[in-house]
Formats: sequence, structure tokens, C-alpha cells
Amino acid sequence: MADSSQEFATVIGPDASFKGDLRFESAAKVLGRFEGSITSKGKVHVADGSECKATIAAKEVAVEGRIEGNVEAGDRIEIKPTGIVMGDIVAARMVMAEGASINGHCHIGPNGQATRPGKPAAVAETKPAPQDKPAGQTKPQETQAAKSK
Amino acid sequence: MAKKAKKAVRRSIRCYLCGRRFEVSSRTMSTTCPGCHKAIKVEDVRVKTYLGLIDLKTCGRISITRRGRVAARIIQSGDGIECEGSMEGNVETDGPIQLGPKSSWKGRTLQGRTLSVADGATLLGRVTVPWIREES
Repeated sequence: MADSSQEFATVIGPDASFKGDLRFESAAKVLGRFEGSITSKGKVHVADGSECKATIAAKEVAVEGRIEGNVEAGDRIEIKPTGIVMGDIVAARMVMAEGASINGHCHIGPNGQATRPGKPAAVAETKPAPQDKPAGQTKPQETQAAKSK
Repeated sequence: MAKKAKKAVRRSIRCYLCGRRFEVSSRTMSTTCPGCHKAIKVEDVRVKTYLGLIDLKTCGRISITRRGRVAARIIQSGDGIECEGSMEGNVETDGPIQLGPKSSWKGRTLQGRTLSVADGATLLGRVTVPWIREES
């Protein structure tokens, strides 16, 4: 425990259940249940036995538990033998151990962040939102573009 | 004095055309399936250079070396796939898939019992692991 508290500034304990959006700068470890979205410039560690029904966007993602949702790792994703990812993965680098599970579309490579298959990033980014519409109506389009990244 | 014939080790394979399981000698390179009566490849395939074909199917193992490149509609093996080079096409295997650090795969689907990916490999397509073939 001492190690994880030093390395990970944010820890969601094994008996904790979190629902919502989590944003942080450095590193977080999920030991319990999480539902929502995780956005970070640092590292996210989904520990063994934990469950995440979330969209994760971080620099580095380590998976030992179960993730149901899309994962976007700016640098690296590491899936350990006990790790399960049920969703799409976009990452520059991936390390996957034998025994891990994936069910989803993978886009792994040095330009993993820049382009997505079928939907080029340039198209998604340059798609102008209608100006005359109220902000509330443009939201679904924005989320679609964000998902397609 | 007559030489004693060495008893060949038998191995169990599954026909990739009809799904029937049967035994062959470990030395068998190709055989006729007793279920569908069609010729099937049993030997291991090693790809060292470019190999472009419609379907690459074998009951054995497929290994692609660092300079090897396979471009096919379906890449199917019974005993697993080891790739150090590049693969293009739908990958299907009853065994494990190993992707080396400089390997790449691009296709619609990649299905296997297990998948191990080394740091540096590139993947593009839908991955379903673990995947177990439906018994016919």
C-alpha cells in the first residue's frame, strides 16, 4: 500500500465505488469500481479485481482488471494476463501478455493518435459545428467527434 | 536383421474446411480430410519473404520471420501464429498468436486463443481474444 500511495497520488480503494468524471495530472490507481470517464496526462492503473465502465484517456494505461469502454493511451497501454478490455483501443504502443482479453477495435502504432481507420482525424476535427444552433444541440456532435478520435 | 520401424507420433488436427477432428502422423505434411474428403495442409508454414495469396490455411503453425510479409484474405492456422514481420488479412487461429516487437498486422479481424504483443508492434483492426471456434 505504501508503494501505491507514493507512486499514485489518486487511489480509488477496493471497497470504493465511483461514478462520474475523473481528471488528474499525475497518476491514479483504481482498485474498486469506477463508472464514467477518466482523463489524465499521466498514468492510470486499473488493478486486478477492479472494474471500470469508463472511457479512459491518459498518457499511460495499465490494465490488470476489467475495462468496459474505449481506451486512448497517448503513449502506452499495458495489458497484464488478468486484464480485460471490452472496447476500442487507441495507443502509440501496446504490450499485451498472454492470457489477457480484448474485444474491440485496436489502433496501435506510432501514429495511433493521429489517424483512425475509416474516420480520418482531419475530417473529425475540421467538421464545423453549426453556428446558428444553440450550444446544447451541438454537444452530441462534439461527443461523436471526440469518440472517433 | 530387419530394422525395427520407429512408431511415428500421432497428432490431433482439426480440418479448417469442415471442422472435423482426426489424427495424423506428426510427419504428415498434407492429407485428405475424412469428413469432407478435401485436401488440407497440415505442415507448418514459415514465411521468410513476401507471400501474396488468396488464403493461407494450414492445420499447423504459421511463422513469419522478420523479413517475411504475408498478404492474404484469410490467414488461418490450427497451432498458432508467430509473427516477427508483417501480416495483412483476417487472422484466425485455434492456438496462440505472438506478435514480435517489429511486427505489424492490418486486417478486419484477428481471432485467437491467446494474444501476446511485444512493445513496438503495430495493430490495426478488430481483435477478439480469447476466441474459441464453434464446433460443427
